[in-house]
Amino acid sequence: MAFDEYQKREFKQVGTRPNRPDGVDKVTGRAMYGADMTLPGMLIGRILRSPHAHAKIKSIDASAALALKGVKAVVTGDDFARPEDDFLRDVQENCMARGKALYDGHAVAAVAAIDAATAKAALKLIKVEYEILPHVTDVDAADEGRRAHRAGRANAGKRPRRHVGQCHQPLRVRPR
Amino acid sequence: MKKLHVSTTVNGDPAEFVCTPDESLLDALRNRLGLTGAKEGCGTGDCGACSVTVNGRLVCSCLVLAAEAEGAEIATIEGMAEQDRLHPLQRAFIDHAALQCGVCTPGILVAAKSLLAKNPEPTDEEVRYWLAGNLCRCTGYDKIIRAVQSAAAEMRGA
Amino acid sequence: MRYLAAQSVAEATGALAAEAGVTRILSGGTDVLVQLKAGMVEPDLIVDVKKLPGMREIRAEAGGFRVGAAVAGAELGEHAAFCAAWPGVAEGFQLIGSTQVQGRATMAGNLCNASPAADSVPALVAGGVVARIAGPGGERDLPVADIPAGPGKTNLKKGEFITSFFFPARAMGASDAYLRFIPRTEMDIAVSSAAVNLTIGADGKVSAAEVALGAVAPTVVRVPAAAKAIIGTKLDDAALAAMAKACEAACNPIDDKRGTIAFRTHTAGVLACRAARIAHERAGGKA
Repeated sequence: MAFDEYQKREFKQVGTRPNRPDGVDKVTGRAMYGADMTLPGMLIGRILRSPHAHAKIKSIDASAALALKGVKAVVTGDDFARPEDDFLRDVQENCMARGKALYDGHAVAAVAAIDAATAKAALKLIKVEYEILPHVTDVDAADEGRRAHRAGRANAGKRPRRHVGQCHQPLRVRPR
Repeated sequence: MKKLHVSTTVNGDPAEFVCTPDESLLDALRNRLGLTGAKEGCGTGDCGACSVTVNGRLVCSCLVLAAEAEGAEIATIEGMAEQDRLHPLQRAFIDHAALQCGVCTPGILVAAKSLLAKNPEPTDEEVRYWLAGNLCRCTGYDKIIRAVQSAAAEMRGA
Repeated sequence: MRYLAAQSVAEATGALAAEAGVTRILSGGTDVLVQLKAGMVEPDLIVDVKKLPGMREIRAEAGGFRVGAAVAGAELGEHAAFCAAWPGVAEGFQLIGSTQVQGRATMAGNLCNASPAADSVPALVAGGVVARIAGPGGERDLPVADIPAGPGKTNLKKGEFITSFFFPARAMGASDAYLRFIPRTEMDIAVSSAAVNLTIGADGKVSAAEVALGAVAPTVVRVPAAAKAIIGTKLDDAALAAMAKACEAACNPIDDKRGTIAFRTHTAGVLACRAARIAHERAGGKA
């Protein structure tokens, strides 16, 4: 319809300023967020993270953590199935390191325990043997270092190429 | 760690709980007393989402040991409304859309109430500096300041 | 970890001395609880000193003030007479953290946490403030300037803790000021800071001065040469220039993402001059 007609339409909700329906719960502290909820038998999870920006994970010994009273499970990258798809593999590796820690903070293991204090104590008992590898924190150095970081795989995610139409002069494209 | 028994007053009512010596007041309020209004945004005293008052003083409950609540008077967001009547600040926040996700809101309300008790007619700048320790990711603060000023005016009977 | 709310100084010092493991004092807790959570320290015993007699009081003494070591920033800020006498100390202390942090933070904690950038310390040093220390061996007094030993370290012995600070009587025409540089407007750690405490004589010239710089060395640095540069002057441009130069010479800062050596050094001089002007004006000096 024409623009002028659109302007004359009367709306029931659009253009009004209703109070948000969850406002009362939120301003009284009654609103329940995920972290506010507890269920019977609920376990608490905690993540052990790599303190190194780039390191080979030589071994993970979770036996002491598993032996701690109140710890129900410990998982590492080896507990996950390995997807065939490249993209999914990257996603999974970001969730839990597989053989290599790729950034400071990369999850290396996880614990489920009966309460936060036990989970925290369990993390301390997990022994990870790292072989620290070099890392880069500079964009230009990253381009040079990309082959060292992920053998054979470039730092760039995708290289889209598009050719449209004809040129009178051939375009000079830098070979990659 | 051997647990401690703490007797305290929360929002005017007697309350007791058992806690470890290294638990924070925030942990005790949320996990021992079921008062989940105060939130853990950072755990380091930077975000203010855990704000409560202890003996009338505005503090971050993540920086108070639960054991310190012994014999003290704690006031949380849950004590702000009078039964089914919202505090003017709570009403103003809803009316002025001063909240979105609402996680910072309990902390900001407790902090704002504490400000108005001390200074019933603050300037915008005074409100901003007082609330500097309460971080909000959603609203951009402008509506929060307006809501606080609106409630302050109402509370002054203006 | 065990928690002890000490009821007497003897109980506190006794428990601290008897503990073979790691101990910590709990005053405001705004540093120690953060360190606890981060796993930076795992105390076997934490002694809460807030219930000890006098720890939370501000009393007049010998013409000056005795401030309990567990007085929170918000409490000190509400003491009109103290803030009138020591505005530099008060403003330095009250710059720490947020309103919530001010509800708990103490000067003793700020001093003993021994960050090189601690905001309450430069003005305490410039003010010649003396700390009273309780310990297993009894009580002793030590100038605040002698307490920080390095980042995170103090010269207190095992079992010792501060119970109060003594602020000497104020001469006529005396005042102080504290300024710091931070990248944000609020809630930040000093990149460089300066405190100036001065007295103006009957002739309108500065008759006494103390200058202390923060965040430009492992501990707060007294700069007698900077003080000397303004004594006997009315803070004319030449005096302030000499003051800035003396401050720069005294700096020995680190270089990091928050401030380069050059930046910290230069701004320390600038802040000292501005603080001198403010203290001068507060003391009743005419420009």
